[in-house]
Amino acid sequence: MRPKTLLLQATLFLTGVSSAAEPSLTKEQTDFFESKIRPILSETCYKCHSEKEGKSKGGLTLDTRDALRKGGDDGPVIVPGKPGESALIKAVTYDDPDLQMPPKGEKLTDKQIADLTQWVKMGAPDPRAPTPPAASPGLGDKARAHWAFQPVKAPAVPAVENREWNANPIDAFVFKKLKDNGLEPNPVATRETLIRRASFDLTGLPPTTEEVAAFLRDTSPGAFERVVDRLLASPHYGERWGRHWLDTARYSDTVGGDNKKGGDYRYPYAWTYRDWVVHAFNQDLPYDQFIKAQLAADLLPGAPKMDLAALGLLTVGERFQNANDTTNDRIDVIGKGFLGLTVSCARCHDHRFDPISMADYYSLHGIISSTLEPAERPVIFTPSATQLADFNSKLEVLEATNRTHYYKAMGKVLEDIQGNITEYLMASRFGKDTTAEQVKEVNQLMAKSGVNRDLLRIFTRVYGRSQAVFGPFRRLAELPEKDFPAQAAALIEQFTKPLPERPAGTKAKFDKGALARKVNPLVVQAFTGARPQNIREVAEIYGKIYASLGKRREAYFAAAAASKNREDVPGFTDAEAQLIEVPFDIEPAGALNTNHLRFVIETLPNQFPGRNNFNFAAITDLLLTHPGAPVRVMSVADAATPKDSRILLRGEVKSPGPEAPRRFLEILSPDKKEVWKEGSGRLQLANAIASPSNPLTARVAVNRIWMHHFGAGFVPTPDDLGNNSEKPSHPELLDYLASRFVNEGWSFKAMHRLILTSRAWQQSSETDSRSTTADPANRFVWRANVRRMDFESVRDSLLVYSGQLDGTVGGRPVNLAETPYSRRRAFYGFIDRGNLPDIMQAFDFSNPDMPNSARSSTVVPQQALFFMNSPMVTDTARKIVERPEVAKAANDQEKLAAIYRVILQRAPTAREFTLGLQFVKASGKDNSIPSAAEVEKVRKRDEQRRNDLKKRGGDKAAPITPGIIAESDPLTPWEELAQVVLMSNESSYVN
Amino acid sequence: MNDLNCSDLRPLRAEDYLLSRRHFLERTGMGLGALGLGSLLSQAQAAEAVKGAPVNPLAPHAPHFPAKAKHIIHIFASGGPSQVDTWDPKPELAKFADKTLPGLNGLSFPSPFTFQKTGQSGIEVSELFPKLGKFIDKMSVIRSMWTDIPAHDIAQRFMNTGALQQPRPSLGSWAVYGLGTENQNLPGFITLGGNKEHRQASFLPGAFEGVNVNYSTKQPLDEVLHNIRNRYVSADHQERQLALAKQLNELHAARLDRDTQLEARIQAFEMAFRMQTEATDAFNINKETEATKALYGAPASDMGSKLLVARRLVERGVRFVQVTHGGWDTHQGIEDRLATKCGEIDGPAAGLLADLESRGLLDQTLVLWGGEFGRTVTRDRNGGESPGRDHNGRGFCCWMAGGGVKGGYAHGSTDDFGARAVSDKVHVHDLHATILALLGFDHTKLTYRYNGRDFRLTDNFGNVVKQVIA
Repeated sequence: MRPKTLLLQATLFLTGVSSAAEPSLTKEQTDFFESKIRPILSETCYKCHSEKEGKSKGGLTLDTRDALRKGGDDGPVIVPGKPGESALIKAVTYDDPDLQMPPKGEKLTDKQIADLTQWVKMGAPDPRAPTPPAASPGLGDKARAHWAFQPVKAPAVPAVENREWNANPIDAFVFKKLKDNGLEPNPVATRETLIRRASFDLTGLPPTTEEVAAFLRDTSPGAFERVVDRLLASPHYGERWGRHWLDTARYSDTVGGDNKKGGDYRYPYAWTYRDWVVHAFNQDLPYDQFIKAQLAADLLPGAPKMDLAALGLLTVGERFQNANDTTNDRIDVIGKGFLGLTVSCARCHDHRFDPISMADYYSLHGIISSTLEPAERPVIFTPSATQLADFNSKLEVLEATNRTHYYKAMGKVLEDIQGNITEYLMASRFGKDTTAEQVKEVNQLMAKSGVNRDLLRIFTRVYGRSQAVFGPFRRLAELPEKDFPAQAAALIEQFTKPLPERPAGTKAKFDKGALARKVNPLVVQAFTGARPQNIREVAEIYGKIYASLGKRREAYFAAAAASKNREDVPGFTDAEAQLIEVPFDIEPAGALNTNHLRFVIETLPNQFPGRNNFNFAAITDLLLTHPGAPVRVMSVADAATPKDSRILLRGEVKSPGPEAPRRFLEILSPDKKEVWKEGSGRLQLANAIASPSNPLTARVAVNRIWMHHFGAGFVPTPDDLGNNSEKPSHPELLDYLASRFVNEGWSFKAMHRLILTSRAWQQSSETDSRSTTADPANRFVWRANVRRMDFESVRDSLLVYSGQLDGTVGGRPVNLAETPYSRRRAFYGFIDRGNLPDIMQAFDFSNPDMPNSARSSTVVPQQALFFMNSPMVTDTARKIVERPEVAKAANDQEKLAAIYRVILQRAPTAREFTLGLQFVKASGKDNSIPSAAEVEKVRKRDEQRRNDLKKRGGDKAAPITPGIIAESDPLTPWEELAQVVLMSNESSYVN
Repeated sequence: MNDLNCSDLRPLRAEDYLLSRRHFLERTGMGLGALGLGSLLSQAQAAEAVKGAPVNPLAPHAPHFPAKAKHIIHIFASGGPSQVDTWDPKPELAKFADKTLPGLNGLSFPSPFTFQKTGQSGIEVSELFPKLGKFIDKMSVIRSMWTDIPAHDIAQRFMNTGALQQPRPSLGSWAVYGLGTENQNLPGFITLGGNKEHRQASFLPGAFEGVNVNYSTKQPLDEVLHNIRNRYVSADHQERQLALAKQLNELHAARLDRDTQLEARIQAFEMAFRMQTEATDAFNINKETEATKALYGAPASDMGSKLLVARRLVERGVRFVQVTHGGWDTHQGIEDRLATKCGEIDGPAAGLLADLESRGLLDQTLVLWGGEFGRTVTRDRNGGESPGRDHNGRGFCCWMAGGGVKGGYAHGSTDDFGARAVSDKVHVHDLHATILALLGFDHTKLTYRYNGRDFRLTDNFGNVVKQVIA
């Protein structure tokens, strides 16, 4: 939550502060209290003296200003201004054997005692609320007693007499619940339905006609179990379930909307995280290890290098200008993703509903803030030498262009400024505080002396950095006009006179010759003996200095561009180089790799001429498309000196409170006192989350698995199992599965097998009015829900029907928005969180800005337009009719049946035969659009668009990737019919 | 947040009627009598829901209380128009011309433009708005706007979504969520250009997201509205296709007790089919008379053409149309640039008001013009010879007309120099609260539960500016 979204409690708190009678404190006083005193009080005193905690030993509470001032049973504990008379100070110094606080020898450090003494001496300034803020109900006992925070205890499987419903423990729980509620379960679905449902559930793809036929033929026992095993072994399983996880992980290939200025908008390596996830699911990586790898693969002993890709969980989120917002995104994904808790709500105030305090939030904040991204992303895979060479040669061309552009642009800017340095110095000499007269003077200068406004802005902004060259000018410009010649002479004398060597051991800052030592020798030389009468004459000296460089600047740029050296440019003295480079640092070519150049360019002012003409986008395109690009990962590493974060009161950076030690959420910590000092704390965090005794982790996981198989979770909000969520529909079953999940080694595949072989899952989706009336939402699972296919399944199915699907697993992202349309699974689509393609939005693709494990399932006309008019769907209809079993069908009936089998995996009913054949017969040949000319026009336009996109390289756009260009002819009657079946509800739903 | 989680009879939310009727009835506790209470559903819809017909999130529904405004056309002047040159005259600035202003950093920069008392109300209007000025007696000018952070992206997000940083639903999404829309052949919220963030539904269901059309008279419509035209099947064939699809769907649904979503999908196809003609028609300004086009300066004027499209959309029942008019970030050369920018909008906006009025639509259509913040009354340091103004969040202006807004009224004021709003200050949240009030909503009750919290457009803030409501 942003500061603006303060809830009631925070408002009270604010009101409390403003109504406080404390005379307004200075910033220093407040800071002293917040940084030194509050931590002592809260860490060592509150446990016995806190109104909020309900502890008031000796009648003393210390957690509000008024209470502290009032004192305890023995009277006031402080006398402001007089530490000697304050009982508090006496107590902490342990001077009096009868009054020692904190007791039991936990004496404060000398520093802490000194701080307290100093504070009382200052008058004990105390910015806290006079009375305690109302405690958030989220921290109360009732909130703590919430079921999801209690340990998982596996309940006994209920005894069920019905033989059909007692083989699988899931069924026993479900059946009992149905009986308790007076409901009857549905019969088992047809075998065609079962294989279709299982295929979509486990792989997101429809079964092929052959797979359906084989299953229908196999009447031996265990036939369905074999189908399930085949699907679980399919590499497409990982894509389906990996995608579910990527919804939770708010996966995207771009940074997002807020941070596109000059920065790298696209993540060229996000896909390595995506591929790691696929691999993990396909391997059935135990879920506890899955968690640990994503939080701390870099810290796990013996983890393969490839696992570094898993850390993308933390890094593929949105990036914000404010680092705390980025940290918040990472806390959010950990909280909701693994724990089903909205931890990020505690950023500005204690959580309103759940026992998560601000201290909890900032404990995690410290962990995330102590985690950094390495400047050079680690390589996990190097392609073949030939591919690499090809990539390098292409990269070198692009980088060379950038370098050439860099030296040209820099050279031009420096030539313009340095060639006219006298005027630039004069125009920029007022700095920021400009009066009317000064503004006028600058304007006049600009008008007559060729000073360019943009360059002047750049120069003004950066010349302050170049003390060695312009320091003397700046100092001289500060002198009063009246007495200028004399004062200037003295100053010039000071920095031009030869100085004796600095005696050993002298500190530089006490060295009177400091300025002289720092000033560029060529500048010193030019000023030696000079007696300027006014500031313009000073500026003119600089004019002469630069004029004396002659052609050296051009030579310098040529040498820099040719230099392989990383440090400096050969053939020039340091003094010369410094003079030529100001007000910038010119990098030799050897140091200018793309990362570094990007950094250099991003730090240039916006007005820098040519700043936007670098082809970084083309380089990212190359990284995103070239098979020879070394594969890197978006990993993280611990900071060299990990630090605790301070609680930001009301979430505001300007109001830092006490430090929150790095540790786990208090409500989930068996040992409430444990703090994490070693490293960032990520590894400890991972272990605490992936612990069998964590009450939330397994529940959250099985609730999601259930949701994806049944269309609704036990708890309908998969990312929030806290106090705000609805009660689970089957609490016992949820706990049974959670505990079984852990006991069976955190295996997803074991869970799928258990669920898909349950009678509960295998029910038909049909309805009966009695059950509909009693349980309209099907909370008790008396039927299978009818589920709309998600975006990926809709698109992938089309490719399966048309026989075009490229089933390659893994790899760089493909373009889903443009033609040619990709043959890869939608899972591999480039996801731009700043600009999701319309088609993905229309089909409720998960919003990648935040964790969203459940997708919505809306029905909007854009979906219909896609099925009616998109080239991809019409093209699919064509290709279905071209399939051999359709094209070579013996007669119209067979043809129709074949189309049905491809799309719906079943034969048509008698009524469907009649309707379909009637349609084809009536269609005739009068479909006269489009005209040949229009076809040609459209084709040309599409091609033009593709070329434009390619040329532009688009800083944000998904790269254009290979695929199919749809045909443009009018549809034949059979193709029209196939399209109708594609449009039908049944083809978009899983029954 | 006083209605947070504390009532057992909570108002309905879109998710309720996006889910099937069964979910819906269950979630509302089946208390049909309760449906009317604070409900966003019309009686007819509630009855429909009970009967078993599909519940469409975009179906029109009544707001909390009767109101005049049924549509909004938001002309978003992105970039931050200068207040003292447009709607907030400050003669005091001239007294300090090129001198440091007391209490402010920088040199006074009096407006190069003159103002004249206009209309019966006698409100002073800048010479930049000769045509729009004629409508001053229909307008409420708010001169005391202020915002939190004067950076473009943040302030624009704030103006359009009520949030500084986090993704939140846009004003238009809230409006359509609250009211539905009147034409089921067109989306309820359409934007002509502008940033995606400013039309996002965020956590509201996707149906409430603004549909953007990068409208330009130069571009064929099928390039701006995806899949709007079929290139492979003629219209009559497609109609037959849809007829067959409907028959097949009914066979399928029969076994499933007419599941609500399945029925909604049948309707979506029908709407999509109609949209192909309706949308194509709505965006075709060639169907207007020459006289009407001349009123807007269309098609020569880009803004004129867009506002004409906006009127055509509103006329067809579209709830919320946003037209973005950028280029107001006048750091330098303000004299020329403002003349250009104001010239671009003056005629078209006046044409829009005249056209709406003559068609009897002005009463029910709220027209809002304004940017994300104002500008300094001092010279931008970098302006040089042709000066401009820097960003200023502490004072700016906007105007509204039609839709139940008081005419000939100027609300609030800035200080003597126009730098800071001082009396009857209107924060962005207040503006949002007022717009919702004009649409018939109590902004504190138009909420949506997400992530365990009831969210609203105005966050926990906002006071309705009652004075601007007629």
